[in-house]
Amino acid sequence: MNIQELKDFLTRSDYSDETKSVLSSILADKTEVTPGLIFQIKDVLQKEIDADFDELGADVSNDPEYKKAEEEYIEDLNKIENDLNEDMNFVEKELKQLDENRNKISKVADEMEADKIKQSIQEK
Amino acid sequence: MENNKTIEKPVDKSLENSQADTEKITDKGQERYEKISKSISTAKTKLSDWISRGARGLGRLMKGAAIGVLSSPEATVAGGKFVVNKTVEETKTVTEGAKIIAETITGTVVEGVKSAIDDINKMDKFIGKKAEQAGEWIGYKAAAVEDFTTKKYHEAKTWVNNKKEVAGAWVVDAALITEAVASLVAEPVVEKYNQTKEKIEKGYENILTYGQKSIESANLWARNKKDSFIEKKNAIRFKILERKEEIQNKRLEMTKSKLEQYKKVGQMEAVIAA
Repeated sequence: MNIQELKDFLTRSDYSDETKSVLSSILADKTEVTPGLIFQIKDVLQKEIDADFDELGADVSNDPEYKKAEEEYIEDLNKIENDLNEDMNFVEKELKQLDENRNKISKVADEMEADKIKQSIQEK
Repeated sequence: MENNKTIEKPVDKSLENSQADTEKITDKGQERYEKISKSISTAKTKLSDWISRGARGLGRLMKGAAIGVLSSPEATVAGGKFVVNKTVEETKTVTEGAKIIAETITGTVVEGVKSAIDDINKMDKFIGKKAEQAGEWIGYKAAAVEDFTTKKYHEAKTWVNNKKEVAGAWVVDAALITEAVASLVAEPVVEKYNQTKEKIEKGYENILTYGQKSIESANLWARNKKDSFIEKKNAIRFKILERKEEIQNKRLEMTKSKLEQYKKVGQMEAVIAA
C-alpha cells in the first residue's frame, strides 16, 4: 500500500472527523509508508477504539484477565529495559578499554616517529 | 420554597473509583512503554556518540599512516575503508532493523485483528466496522510478509538468546587486544603496530555492532510486547461487551414475556367486564 492508497483508505474509513483530522496532519508531509508512520497511525486509531469501548461501557478495571495481562506486559518491558541497560554498560566499559589501548598505541606511534626523525638527523 | 429545592443525583462512588482505576491501570502500561522508548532513544544517542568518538579516535590513529612515517599508504586506505564500511554497515543495519520492525509488527497486528474481527462479527457493533477497516488496511501486506516475519522473529530470538555468549567471546577479544598493546609498548615495531591497530579497529567494529543489535532488539521486543498487550486488551473488552449484550438480550426477552403476560391480564379484565 502506498501513501496515497493509505490516505484514501483512511479518508473513506468510519473513524471520526477528529481522528481523520489528526491523521491528515500526520500524513500531510509524508511521501512513503514507514514503520514509524504505521505506529503513529495505529496509536491514533487505537485511541478512538478505546474511546468507543469506554462509551460502550467495556470497563476492564476489575477484570482479572486484564490485570494479569498488564502485569505481564510491564514485567516484560522492565526485563527489556534492564537488559538494554546492561548491554549499554557493557558496551561503554569495553569502549573505554579500547580507547585506553588506542591512546597507548598512539603514544607508541609518536615515539617511533620521533625515533625515526632523530635517526635521520644523526645520519645527516 | 421546598418545591424549588434541587434534588441532587446520587453519585455512584463505586463507579467513580472504577473509572479512576481504569485510567490508572490503562496509564500504567502506556507510561512504562514511554519510559522504555526513552531508554531506547537515549541508548541510540549514546551509540551515535560512541560511533563518532570511535571514528575520531581511529582518525587520530591513522595520523602516523597519513604522514607516511609508520604505516604504508595501504594502511591509510584500509583505515578509511573501515570507517566507510562501518557507516555503510550501520546504514544497512538500521534499514534492516526498520524493516524487521515494520514487517514484524504488521504480522502481529494482523493476527490480533483477525481474532478481534471474529469477535466483532459476533457482536455487530459499530466499533467492529472500524477495527475491521484497520484490519483490512494492515491485511494488505500480511500474506507477503508472513514468512519473512517468522524468519526475522526467529533470528531476533536466536540473537537475544546468544547475546550473553557473544558478550563472553568479546571479553576474550578485549583481553587479547590489551595483551597485544602491552607487547607493542614493550617492543615497538612497525609490523606489530599495524597488527595491533587492526585488532583495535576490529574491536570498535565488534562492540559497536553489538550495541546496535542490542538497541534494535530492545526496540523490536518493546513494540512487539505493546502490540500483544493492546491485542489482549481489545479482546478482553470485546468479551465484556459480549457479556453485556447477552445480559441485555435476556432482559429484553424477559420484558417481552412480561408484556405478553400484561396483555393477558388485560384480556382477562375484558372478559370479566363482559
